[in-house]
Amino acid sequence: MLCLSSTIFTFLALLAFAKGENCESPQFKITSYSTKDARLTAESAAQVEITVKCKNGKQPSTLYADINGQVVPCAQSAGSPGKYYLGVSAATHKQLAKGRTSVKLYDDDTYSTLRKTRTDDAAKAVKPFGEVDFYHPGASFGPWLPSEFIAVIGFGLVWWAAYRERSKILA
Amino acid sequence: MSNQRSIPRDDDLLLQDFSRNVTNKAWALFFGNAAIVSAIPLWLFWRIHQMEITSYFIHFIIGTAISTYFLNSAYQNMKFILKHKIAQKREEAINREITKLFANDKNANKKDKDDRILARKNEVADFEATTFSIFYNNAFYLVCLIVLSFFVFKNFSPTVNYLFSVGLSTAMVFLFSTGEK
Repeated sequence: MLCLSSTIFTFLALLAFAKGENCESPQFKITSYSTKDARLTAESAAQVEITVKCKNGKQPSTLYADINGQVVPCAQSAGSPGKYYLGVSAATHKQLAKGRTSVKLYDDDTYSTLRKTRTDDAAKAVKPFGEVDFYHPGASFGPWLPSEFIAVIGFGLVWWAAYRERSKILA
Repeated sequence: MSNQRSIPRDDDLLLQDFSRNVTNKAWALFFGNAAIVSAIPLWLFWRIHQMEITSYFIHFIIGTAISTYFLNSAYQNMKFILKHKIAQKREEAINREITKLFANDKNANKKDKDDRILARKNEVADFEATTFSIFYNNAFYLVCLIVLSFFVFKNFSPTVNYLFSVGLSTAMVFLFSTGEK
């Protein structure tokens, strides 16, 4: 009897401990930087910093991100707990989609559940740990004409008008 | 004695008309404009060519001072050349204006009317020549500066770019200010 009750007690304690290990009610904050200049670069890349704040103060040991159908682990920094980093690269500027891109996040439990699924439908049915959006404004080639060219044309026209007026006066 | 020393008013006006000297007011106007226009490129070189003011302030001071001096001289030169031409062109209109003014004044004599015409002609020509000289020289200076700084000396070091762009622009403005064509 004592043995049974101690087993049940140990099991319940372990269950409570395990539940306490997980992040509860996570809140996410995103900071991102992506390639903006297409004239001087051939490829596009984006760096996303995800800050996770949990209600119970626990942080997921590993965070996985589903970006464009690929699930990759996020990097972490020893000096910044709660911050996870995701890098995205694309061979051409067009491949990194402009605008908002949705990224599903998985912690250890949800990731292991995802890995156990066998079909796409089942994978889609797995509830992620969280979902964030990062915004890429797009890479620009800049203005068609360089600004100094426009400045020279503008000032040149003003000078030309002044020169014609001066010629009329001195005639 | 006092009659020999006092200069009649119309001679005074003629001397002023043909003199290369400018009044204090005109000199202050020229100097102020020259200083501002010479200082404008500093912003370009600081923000676009990345020349920090703390590191290059000596170059900037020397360049601005030389540019101010020669721009000032260019303004004066061009004003002197333009003034006479403008006076000739405006003569008819000023005659009409003064004649209309004196039409109802029966006490006025011809000498007073001529004096008035001369003074008015001098005033109009002076003002128009001053403002046009500033406008033309500024436009020419800035075009030269932008072409030299962003196209000719684009690949040179910032110091060389600044000194040659400002120096050559100033030299060209000064040189062409003495031309009569």
